[in-house]
Amino acid sequence: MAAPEPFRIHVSDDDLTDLRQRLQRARVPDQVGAGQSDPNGAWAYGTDKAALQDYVSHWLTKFDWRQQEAKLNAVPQFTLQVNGLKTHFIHQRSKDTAAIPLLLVHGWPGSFVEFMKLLPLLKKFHVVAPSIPGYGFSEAPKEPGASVVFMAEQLTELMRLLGYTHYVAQGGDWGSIITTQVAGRYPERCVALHLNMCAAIPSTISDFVQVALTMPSWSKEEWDAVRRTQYFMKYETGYQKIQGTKPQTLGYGLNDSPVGLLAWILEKFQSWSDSHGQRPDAPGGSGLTMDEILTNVMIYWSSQSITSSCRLYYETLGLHPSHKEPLQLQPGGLLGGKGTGVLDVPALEIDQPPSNPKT
Amino acid sequence: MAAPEPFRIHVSDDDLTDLRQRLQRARVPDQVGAGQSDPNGAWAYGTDKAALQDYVSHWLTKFDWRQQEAKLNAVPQFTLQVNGLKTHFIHQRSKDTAAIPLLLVHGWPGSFVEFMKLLPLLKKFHVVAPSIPGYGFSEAPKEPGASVVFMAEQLTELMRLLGYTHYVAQGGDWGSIITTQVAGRYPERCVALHLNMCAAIPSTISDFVQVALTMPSWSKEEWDAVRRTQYFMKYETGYQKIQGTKPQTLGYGLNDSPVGLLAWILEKFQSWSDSHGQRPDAPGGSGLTMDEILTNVMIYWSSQSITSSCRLYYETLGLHPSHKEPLQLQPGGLLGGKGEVFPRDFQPPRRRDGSRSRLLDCFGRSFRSSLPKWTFFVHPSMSHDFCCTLDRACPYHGHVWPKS
Repeated sequence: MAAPEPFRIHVSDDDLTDLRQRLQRARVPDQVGAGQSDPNGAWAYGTDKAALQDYVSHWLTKFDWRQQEAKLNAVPQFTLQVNGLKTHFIHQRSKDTAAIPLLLVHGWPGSFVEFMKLLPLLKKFHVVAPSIPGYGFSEAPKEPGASVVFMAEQLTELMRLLGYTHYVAQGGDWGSIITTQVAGRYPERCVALHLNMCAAIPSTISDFVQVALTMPSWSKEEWDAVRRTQYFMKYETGYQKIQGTKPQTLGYGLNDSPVGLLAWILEKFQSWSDSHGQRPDAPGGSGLTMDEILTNVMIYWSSQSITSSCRLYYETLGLHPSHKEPLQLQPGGLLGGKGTGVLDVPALEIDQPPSNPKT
Repeated sequence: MAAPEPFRIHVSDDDLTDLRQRLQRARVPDQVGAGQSDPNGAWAYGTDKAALQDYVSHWLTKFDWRQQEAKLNAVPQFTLQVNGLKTHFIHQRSKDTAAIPLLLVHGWPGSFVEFMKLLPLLKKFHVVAPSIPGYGFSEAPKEPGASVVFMAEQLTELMRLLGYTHYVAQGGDWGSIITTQVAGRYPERCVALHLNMCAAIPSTISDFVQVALTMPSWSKEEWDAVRRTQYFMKYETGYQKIQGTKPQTLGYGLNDSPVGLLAWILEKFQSWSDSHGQRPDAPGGSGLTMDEILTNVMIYWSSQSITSSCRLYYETLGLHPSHKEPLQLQPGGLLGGKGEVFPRDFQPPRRRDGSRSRLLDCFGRSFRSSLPKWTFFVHPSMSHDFCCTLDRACPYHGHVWPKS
């Protein structure tokens, strides 16, 4: 078995110059002010132009990629061929050789950089934080059909190649769904799961009826959660529909325009991080800085992986005519939105998100 | 009243150089081959990379914008302030002063250039072919709420400012919906309508039941049409969902990357023009040339209007939280796909064997419409190929202009 190869990120000077020029020459369209009653304020039609231009200005004048690159390279990164695909991952071994191995999986439009601040706090674990195939520096699948099941198999194989027979996993967004597949398919290996996105869809009529029968006892918080989920499904899933049907058509512009890519990603950092109509870096907002957000965007830009990252939606959501059979997922159901829910998987320790009072 | 100002398109040399450089430096991503069973072949995941790169190459080496620009400028174009928005339009007057005025409205991702080949054939009409506000060289609305109703009011006002009190209208895509609003709201002015995109949604439960009761008599063609509509709604409406919720987020990339813009538009020219998995310019396909498609893209690129063009979806489809009430549209319903619609008092066409379609009969009764008496509906596949005059274009050989 080949050994993992050490990996260092290095974006060439030419690429940085090219990026700078594209930013300087960005053609930014006009914007219409939102209606008074839109809860998203300046973000009603999508990414707010004023915020975007501020980010572009920061990107050009204050953001220091070499500094960010050095920080990323200070953590141990590797690549390894996994079933023919070069897979990138952080591998931080604990000093304690008997430590629990922990598989950390990011989502979209995130990346392994999401875990940078956690790594110092996870020294008690052997941390493996891969880039999902097709994201960042992990090679993209070359064949159709690379759904979350494929990704789960790839990452399970990665853990096996690294010598880990028993481990726990953590994931959010796609990472949540992928690690759930890992745990569901390989419960003897992945023995515990921690998720920061959970979705529950009753998978049988009787389950649905049972849930419906509890409705009279739902609390205000639970009703609010339902309303938030409905809001999300109605107004905030355009990206899923386009990424799930025409990822290629979308990807050409996003891969060619850094402003376009930034806008596409920034919108999610704003709307998925309790920003309350503000910019994601505003005080009391997501807690993220502009530098952190731009570093994440740089991963997609420098690796040219935005298109392959979107293909995961196409392969998984089943919105294409050759997708004949539903994916066999463990447990039942798939992404149902950004609501909180319950995963009824026995024998797993699930640390509930704070807003979900159910067990 | 201010007179219309003559308008000529002129894209500066600097802008053309900038465009060229962006095309030359385009960063084109990888592509995965489609599954064997995907009917869209190389276009399964969206715009095919090989086709796109061929278009880019053509754009750089063969497409002559100055030549196209000159052709466009050979037709009489004007701008006029309409309720404070500068509106661009072609205005081709007939030699016959008593000619019928004809309002031609394009859609998305089209433009006024769609009508270039028709203009020589429409000399019997006074043709007014505007750019929808926010499209091409028409100024974009500055306030929220500029839905198809707003557009219909703007274009009705344009016709009024041009002195036309009675006219007919033709439209496809958004143009179909907008002209339907014009005719529905101002039937005394817009007295006939010709549409090359029609949609029908039963607007009451009883209408729905009536339609359902005709299902046993549906022909194979009607079932195929239903399946095509379902296919379209399921697999081909991602663009509506993103344009209808986050037009701004989408627009930044499309306005900054000509390859991105080309891909976004080319996909529609491929999938909406009976290309059967081929490129839109392939023989037997849409009938359009690469030059024609690129000229249309140049309108969006040079005017930087792709984002405002997408906002029409946001304002009309109601997929945003401040959209509290459904638009009051005439007649009931909105875009339902590429189906067909017939108003209450329209006689549905007979099939070739002389029988009538019960489905169409039923749709005919399902609207509380005030559409003008003469409304003709053309099969969507004719959208790029409809004939010169209204009476010749109508496959049902009806009258265009009421004689009484």
